[in-house]
Amino acid sequence: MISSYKQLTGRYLKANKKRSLLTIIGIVLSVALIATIGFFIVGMQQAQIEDIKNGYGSWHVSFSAPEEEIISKVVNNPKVLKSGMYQQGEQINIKKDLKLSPTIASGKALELLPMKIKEGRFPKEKNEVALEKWVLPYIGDNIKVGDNIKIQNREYTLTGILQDSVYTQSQKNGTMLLISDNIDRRKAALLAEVSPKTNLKNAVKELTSLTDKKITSINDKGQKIQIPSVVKNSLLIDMQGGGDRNSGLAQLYIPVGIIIGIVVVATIAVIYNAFQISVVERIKQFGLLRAIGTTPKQIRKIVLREATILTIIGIPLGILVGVAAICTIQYVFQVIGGDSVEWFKLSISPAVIIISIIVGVVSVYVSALIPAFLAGRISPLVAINSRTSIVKEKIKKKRFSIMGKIFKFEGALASKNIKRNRKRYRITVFSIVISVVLFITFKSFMDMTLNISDTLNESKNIHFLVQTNSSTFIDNNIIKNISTLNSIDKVYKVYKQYDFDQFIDKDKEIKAIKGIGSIYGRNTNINGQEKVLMNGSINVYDKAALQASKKYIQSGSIDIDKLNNENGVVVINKNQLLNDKTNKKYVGPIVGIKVGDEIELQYSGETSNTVTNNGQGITTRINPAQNKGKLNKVKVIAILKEDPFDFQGLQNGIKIITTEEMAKKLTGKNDIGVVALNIVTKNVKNEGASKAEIEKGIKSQPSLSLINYLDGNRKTKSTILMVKILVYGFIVVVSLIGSVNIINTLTTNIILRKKEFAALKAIGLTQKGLRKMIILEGLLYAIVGTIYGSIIACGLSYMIYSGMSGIREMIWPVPWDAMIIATIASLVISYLSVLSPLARINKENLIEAVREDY
Amino acid sequence: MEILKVQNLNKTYGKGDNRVEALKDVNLTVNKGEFVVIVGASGSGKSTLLHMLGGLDRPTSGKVIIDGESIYDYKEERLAIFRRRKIGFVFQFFNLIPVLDVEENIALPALMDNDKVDKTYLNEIIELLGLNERKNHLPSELSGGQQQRVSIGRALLNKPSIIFADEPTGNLDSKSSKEVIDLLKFTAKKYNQTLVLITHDIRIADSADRVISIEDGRITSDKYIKFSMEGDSRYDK
Repeated sequence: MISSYKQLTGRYLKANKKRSLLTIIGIVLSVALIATIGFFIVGMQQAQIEDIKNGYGSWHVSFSAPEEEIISKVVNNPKVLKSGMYQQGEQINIKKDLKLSPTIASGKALELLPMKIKEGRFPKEKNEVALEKWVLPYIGDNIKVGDNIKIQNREYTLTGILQDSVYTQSQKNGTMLLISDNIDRRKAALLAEVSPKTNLKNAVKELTSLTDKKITSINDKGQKIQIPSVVKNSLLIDMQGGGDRNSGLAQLYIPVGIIIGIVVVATIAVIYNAFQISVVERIKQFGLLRAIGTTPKQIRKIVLREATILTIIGIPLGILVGVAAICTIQYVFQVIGGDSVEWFKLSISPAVIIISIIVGVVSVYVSALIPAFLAGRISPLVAINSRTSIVKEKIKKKRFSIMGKIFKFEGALASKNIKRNRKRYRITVFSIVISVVLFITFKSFMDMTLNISDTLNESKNIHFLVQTNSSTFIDNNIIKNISTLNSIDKVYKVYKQYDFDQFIDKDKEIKAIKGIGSIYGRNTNINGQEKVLMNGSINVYDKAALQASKKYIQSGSIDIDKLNNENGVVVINKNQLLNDKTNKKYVGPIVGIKVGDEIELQYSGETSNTVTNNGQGITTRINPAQNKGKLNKVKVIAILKEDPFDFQGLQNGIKIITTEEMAKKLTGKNDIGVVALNIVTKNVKNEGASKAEIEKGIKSQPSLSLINYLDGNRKTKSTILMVKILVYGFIVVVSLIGSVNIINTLTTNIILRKKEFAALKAIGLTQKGLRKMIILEGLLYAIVGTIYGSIIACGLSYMIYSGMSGIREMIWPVPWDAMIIATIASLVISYLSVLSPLARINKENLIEAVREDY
Repeated sequence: MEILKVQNLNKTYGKGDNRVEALKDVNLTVNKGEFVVIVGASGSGKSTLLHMLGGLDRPTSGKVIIDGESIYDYKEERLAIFRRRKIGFVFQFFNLIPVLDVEENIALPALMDNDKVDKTYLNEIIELLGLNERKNHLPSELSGGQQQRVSIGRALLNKPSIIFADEPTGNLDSKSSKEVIDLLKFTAKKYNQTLVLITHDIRIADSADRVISIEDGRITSDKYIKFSMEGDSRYDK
């Protein structure tokens, strides 16, 4: 026995388990999504902070050559967490080509500097020292932390080993950390870290205003200049949220705001629909309660209590799912990236949890409020007059439509039905629109993000690079040898890059990028036709590389014979270039070119690129042609959507790929030779063995060098993979929220009309006919919803594009693929979601349904 | 003693061409303890009249005074509370809450007042209605007659001074109909309640104290069939 009318709420929720569950799922998904995004952002911020601390140190403010007064003011400031002085000592020569640079510090300065202890701890006493690992073998054999070592006849205890720096290694100048009490303040700097308990922005302001003294420094050009003695660690301060509006963190808020906004709208839509439906469904019950004396306020309470119960269940679950999700992401990222990629640090921030809870609670109540008021306003008469539910509908008269012609009676009825109750029609279409908008907007946003980020192409699968250091070519025998090595899977030959003057038809220009000055050159008359000049490059691909390029075809086909016989070329129609005037990055096609179009080419010179030994920098040598070659007409036989291999050459011209034979023809040169080899090994685990084999293979040509790409490419690949996982993870969750919404609305739509369907069956509509009618109704809703949704989503997508092109310039891609997916998905979901209530109706006794009360 | 007084009651629906005058200038007085039956053809306005009397719908003009209180002077909130405490309703389509069992459905009006349910009285009603065996059943597990008895129980719970019944037997077979009417009469007498009932059934009208006929929104006849419980002797008024 219940003890209060309020318990009706619980009864109702239990009696409608399925829908309560759907609503809870909606809440859980939304809260989880918001929490996960929050955790992720905070995690990224943490990782960035860590990164900056490693690179620049954890100090916030530094004072060069500070006065005694300032030192005492800073050190004794309660807002300062850690402080200390440091100075560079004189270099110590250890061996012929090895020096040590001591950093002498007092207080806690060592902890504030960008030094990372790998083993042990920072020195604390005068005779203690910390050194980089690579230095140790120069000092003595088998040195461990705790050992006593001798440097320049002085005894030290080694308390810590520092992480190696590439820079110090290349300079052969090791870092050495020491502690001293007598630091000359005129040669030293005072570092201070602000306590996390105070407001960073204010504290930094206070500290920097302590002095406006200038010190003399020497700039790049060797001139003496005056610079302020106070320096802020702006990168760190910005990332920790103490910066101003233009800081990096502030820019992060915009996309995050858009994403959370979309999620919140979706949540409100799902929950609003759920409540609206649950109220409409019980309209008679509320009417009855009103008739026997329940006040509107009490009715509102009943509905809002439902919201409260669902919130109490849904939100903690959502937070838990969010935590689980972020832990899973962390785990997956660790598996993919290992230690090499760390742009996200797991942190379950209480602020994020609180914000997610607030957003969740607010959205649930906002969405329950309107239905609650609606329920409160229900007239008691509704209860008495059982006919009202049909009579009150304003039925729009409509002629038999196309649907009727195609799908006979059932189709006609379906098309009449969906529009006959304006409110229900709106709710249903609205829920489909919301889902479609969500999906398309989100996907197109993500696609745009992915488009401007790095792409995963064949270059990322390269393990080793062999290149010539001089202007000679790689010997053909060596190429043959390496290709036949056991451990080698594939060898792609890399040629020089050949630059050309390219002439295209005037109508092939893309209007949107005409403003970027460096693309389209002067108009030129060629054989009586007005053409536009562009400067571009040709990359020569061998058979294997052309084969691998087939994956990237957008239109046309790649056939070596056709390339050679028909003066054929392949065009990569996606360029990345910088607009000098606006300083924005443009990503997208550079000419409106099709397969079969012709381009006029005139050879203008060659360029060769050499990769520096650590695989990072690239040196470029340009040799302009002595005299320009003759004009050749080439035909585009294929267009690629991405670079199959990182393109070498000009980004502001048409990026062309062709064969060795064609290159000879176009340049008029006979010596089109191989300057580098991209090598893919069979087994990545045998890195060492493969390396040894290749090294042996290239020994006969001393100008060749081997570069290991494994680590670098592994890192890039895992980063791209992580971004994709994130992007598609979010899309999946957003789609789920959308689906819950559609299922909820369509299911109820049918259940509410049970009686009507029973009547139709009673007068002779077969179950098959009913099924046809209901399914058609569902599909009609889906079509209408998708059309409206696509239009709205395109608008939103364009808005996001406008926002993003503030940073990067690109052409807005109409989200066709997202629209197609959304259309198919909403049709399928609509179809599936009417099946279960349909089965329910079929099982029910006809007579009972006809007579049923509500 | 007057329990219900209706003064110049009018109700119109719609506007312009669609304007329907459902009630025209209805005046009526009902004394305490009377059993009044309202008869009329479908569309005559009898249901509208009952809704007006019971405070379910607002009249276009005129007054309804129950127990000395002019109910349409009240705002929605107050009116609902008045209905809850002073009026009992029995509907044609029993209108029980499907998620509550028999006992809970009957106790509902008290629960809305956040009152403790008077268990003795509740059990007395259940016993009286012969629902003891079915106390914990859901409405869907009951026959039509049983469901209607539950709704009578609900109407009785707050000891209202007046009960309105809108075709309470319209959905029942003749055996159940008789049971329900007997029960209504019996309880009305037992608790000294006024009973206003709408029906098509001549036999029910025959057993009433007073029969009011309504046509096109006007009272066309108002007859006392026999002595009322208080012994009023006005025939053929």
